[in-house]
Amino acid sequence: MNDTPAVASAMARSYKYGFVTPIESDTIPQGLDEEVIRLISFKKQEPEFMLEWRLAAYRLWLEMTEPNWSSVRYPPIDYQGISYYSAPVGNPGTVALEDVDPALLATYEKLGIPLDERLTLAGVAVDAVFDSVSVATTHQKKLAEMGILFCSMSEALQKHGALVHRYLGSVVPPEDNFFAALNAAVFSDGTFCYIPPGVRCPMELSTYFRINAARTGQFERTLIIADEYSQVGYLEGCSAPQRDRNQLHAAVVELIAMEGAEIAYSTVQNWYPGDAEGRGGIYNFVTKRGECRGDHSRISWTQVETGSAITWKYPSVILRGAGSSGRFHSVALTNHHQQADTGTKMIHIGPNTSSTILSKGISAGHGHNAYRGLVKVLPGASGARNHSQCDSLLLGEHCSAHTHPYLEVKNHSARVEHEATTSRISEDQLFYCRQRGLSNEEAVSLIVNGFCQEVLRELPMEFSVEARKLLAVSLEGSVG
Amino acid sequence: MSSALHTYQREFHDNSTHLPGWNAWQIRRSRQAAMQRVMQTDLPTQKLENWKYTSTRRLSQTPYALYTGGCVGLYLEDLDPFLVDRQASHRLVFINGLLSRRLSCLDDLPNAVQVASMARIADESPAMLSPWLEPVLTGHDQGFAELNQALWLDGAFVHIPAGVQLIKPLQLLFLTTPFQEPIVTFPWNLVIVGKSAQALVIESYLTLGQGAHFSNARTTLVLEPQARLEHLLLLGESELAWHVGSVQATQKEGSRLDSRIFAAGGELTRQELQITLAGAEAECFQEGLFLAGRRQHMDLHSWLHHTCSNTRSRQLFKSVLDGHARGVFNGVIRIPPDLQNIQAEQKTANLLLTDTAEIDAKPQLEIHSDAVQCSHGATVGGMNPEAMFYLQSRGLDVDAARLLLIQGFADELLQTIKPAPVQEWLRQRLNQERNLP
Amino acid sequence: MNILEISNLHVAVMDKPILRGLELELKPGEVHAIMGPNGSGKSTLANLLAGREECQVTAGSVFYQGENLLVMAPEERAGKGLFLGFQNPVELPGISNVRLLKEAFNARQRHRGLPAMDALAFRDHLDQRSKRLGLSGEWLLRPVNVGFSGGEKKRNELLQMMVLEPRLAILDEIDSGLDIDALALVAEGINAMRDAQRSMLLITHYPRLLDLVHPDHVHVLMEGRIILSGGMALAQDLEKQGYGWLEEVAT
Repeated sequence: MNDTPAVASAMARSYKYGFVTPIESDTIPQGLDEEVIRLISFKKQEPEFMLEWRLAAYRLWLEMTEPNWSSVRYPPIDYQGISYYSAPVGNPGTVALEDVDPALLATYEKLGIPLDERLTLAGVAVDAVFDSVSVATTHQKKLAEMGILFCSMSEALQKHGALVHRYLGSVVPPEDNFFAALNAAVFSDGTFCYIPPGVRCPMELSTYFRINAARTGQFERTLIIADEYSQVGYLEGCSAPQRDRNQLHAAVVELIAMEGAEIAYSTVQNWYPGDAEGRGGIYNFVTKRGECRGDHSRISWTQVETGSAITWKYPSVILRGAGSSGRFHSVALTNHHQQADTGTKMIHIGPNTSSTILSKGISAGHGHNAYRGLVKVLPGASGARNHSQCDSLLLGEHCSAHTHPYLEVKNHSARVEHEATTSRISEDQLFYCRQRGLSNEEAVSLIVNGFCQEVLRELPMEFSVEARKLLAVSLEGSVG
Repeated sequence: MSSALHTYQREFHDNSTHLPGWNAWQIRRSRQAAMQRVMQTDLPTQKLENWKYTSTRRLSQTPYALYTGGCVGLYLEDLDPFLVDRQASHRLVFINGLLSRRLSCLDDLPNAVQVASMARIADESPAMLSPWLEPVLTGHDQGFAELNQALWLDGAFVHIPAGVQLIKPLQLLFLTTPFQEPIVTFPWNLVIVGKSAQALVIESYLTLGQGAHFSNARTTLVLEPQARLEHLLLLGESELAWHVGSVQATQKEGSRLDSRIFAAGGELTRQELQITLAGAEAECFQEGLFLAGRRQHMDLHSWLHHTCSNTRSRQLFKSVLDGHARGVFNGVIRIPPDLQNIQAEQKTANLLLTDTAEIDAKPQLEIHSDAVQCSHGATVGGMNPEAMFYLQSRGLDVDAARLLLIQGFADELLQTIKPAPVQEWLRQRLNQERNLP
Repeated sequence: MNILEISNLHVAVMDKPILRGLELELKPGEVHAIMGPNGSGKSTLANLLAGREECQVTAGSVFYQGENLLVMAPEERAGKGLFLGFQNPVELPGISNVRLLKEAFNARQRHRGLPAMDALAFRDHLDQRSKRLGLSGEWLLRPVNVGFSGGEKKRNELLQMMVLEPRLAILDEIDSGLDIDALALVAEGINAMRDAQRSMLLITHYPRLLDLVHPDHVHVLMEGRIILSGGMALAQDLEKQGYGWLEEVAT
């Protein structure tokens, strides 16, 4: 493919969230040292323990090396060339909706996420994160009536410090990995949720992440605690302007499910993927982990990953409680020069725990897609069950698909099954659809949709529709 | 540098002129280059992805002595249990890694078929070996294979010329008779099956008695166009033995390899299988059965490279793990870009009999071409309680039911082995060696 | 104007000649049946007309409603009202029947410059037709052909034809694998679709479908050519005597 204006405009069309919001930002200079961390903590008026926690993580991070075991390849990241904090002026933290800069409201409106509560999708509460800070959180009042805490991490640290202190880092400690340590040191905002015992959250909670400023990184942290026998569904969406330079997004998400609780976490990841030649795009290096701490608790991760230049994430579940269950449903699509190394870890600790993994990888163009997953059954996990299915679909001659499952089983009453297939799109299927009048591109899109169907149906309705459209758009230019 | 490597390097340095083929420059250079590489990388450690689940600490910290000859009084009768039907097979017998001509028998080999001591070929006609001296793979995880390349003392050289069909199976028996001081052996075998030729080669590693020793073995298989080779590898050494082996096969167009591996012995076993399907219509069928009990550690690493269009492979590996045994399976199917019409299928099934046994399985696909049909499947589980109940309800006691189910699980791989005497012999060996209830 | 006009058609598959000088004309509203033994080239003809790439035309021409059919992409042919009922329809995992039908229907609407039908109106359009074939609403939610029996697949092909309302329907062994009741249902469906504008080409091995459909013309295809044409009487002869007696005519 060459750089003809037609191709360029086709690509520009395909990433419709690539605009920049002209807004005045308070951005700290590029670079990272203890002073920067103190400054972030100061700007956020955090309690004392947070600064200590951040500095300890930073010191750990200095000792760690960037992981190189995955199959993704990228030039070295200059951690001193990134600005670690950027916030729209006048938005030091969450404010009342009436006070939010209209330019920001317009931005979210344009992204299809209206923040005005009268306009929001029924049944979805949104926390909107813009660069480093949360700019608005909707439906807080209604949720508060049920005892549900849903707010930005900054607000949580100020209002519910003890609760945050108790759980923060208890699932993903700073020493977990290089990017988790970096995140712990510099994270600027994120979402906090607490669902009290026995409460069924009446609406889907969601966070919409938007990177706007150039040369900044986004480091957010999400913490969701579902207390005994509570239930919550959570959605996460993201996008960023189209820029030539790569930008780093290193988030941490921690989920804690107490006895009988259930958390369903869904992501539709649509960070800017870079252009058709592989220039620009977001490096999405994310640590997501949930712990089924109580008996019979349930955590599920559903992800549709179509964006980012590089995706490196393994949403995992620690199955500690007896009879707890973890699920991972994933669609990862890489087109042009995108790379994805994604999968999950299911750590079976408690007896009669079960896990299900369903991964669908689609590679097109020069895309590279790797599934990497660990199923670990510890000696105490009697009666543990796992079933994994990992399918890869290749579209074109220059893409690749790797499958790297790790099965580690130390209990003889466990039953672990893994299946994987790799194939190309079938000529017979294409011909059948074209005979029924679909164009080649429509036929590919339909077949890819069918390939992902089992995962897509796990998503809440509105997201599922969005994800289907996104898949079709992401495939543009992949079919000859 | 690890202490074992230090010792082996010293042995290499002190005795190099006694190594077979040292006077031939090609062989000398190959040995020196291999030693140099392993000195640079050192022996592998668990930090390497390919050794993640297998500790090499003792292998690299405990140097064993190189066996260079000495009196071993053995009669053919002593060998009986280790040999496939004497009348119905050809055999080369290696005692402690060196050929025993007295115990070998190559009567009635078809004309032009060459079966000889590698040491002799290296000294007498080194040019015959030169195309095969360089290993397919080198690297920081190849330390043990490179150690073998530097230090091999003997092994089998087998050449089946074009069009020849070797009717009787050829057994290569590597028997170790442990000494007070544990020894290490470095056999290298080279089997070349010519165009449209056919052979069944049985490579067996066994121990007389119960001592400790270390076999570091390497086998190179070459299949010329339309060649057919059945390669059967039996690992049944003593419960104190360590075995690190690698089989590297290259297949040209239209050739077919049936590779079977049966492992029951050893304290620590690490076997690598590296097959390259390098010609159109080449096919490879691989099967493996691993029976481990006590504290045995068995590690199989298989790499299947399809480097040519229109090639097919199918693999099935099974393990039965009892006691405190640990099994490791790592299988990679690799398909580079721009190939057409590839079929690859890999399956692994693992039976855990106790809560102290462990399996770490890692089936991997690395696919860079869209014209493929590839799949893998892995299962891990215990004895099926329903099947147990069914058998018990038919009057079998728990032990008998268990044994029957284990046999059934293993039998899928045994029953296809031909000819019958080989299958019968293998069953006996496995019954003898395996430490299952 | 003829719906279909095939002259001196030679087609090879993987360099092997299959059709050798086939001639055929279909007028609006006509139903033709092509019969012939296995391997005579019946399915190749069907696939060629639908635009399968493996079929290489080595000589001859095919005109569809006066236009050169051979230069059109498969979806273009479909858009212009050419429908192939496949002999062995492929499975489409994860794609429900209703989804495919809607996509295909709206692709046709687009082709005709008509607006897409809204979901509810389409549902009605679909329900009427699926009921006629005795297919339940649950059926419509099942993935296309996945796990279908032979008979179910055939009925599904027929449903698609009814929904898409083609100008020319080519039904490739729509009767194979059907029991008597299913066959009657399929024949009823075909008859219901007959009108003065729509033409059909039934490809079949057995005459029993023809007893129920009564085609206007019956052709025998052997060795890649139509060696004999006639009416229903020809089909009845074939039922009694098989194809053996025709071999001489063919050579």
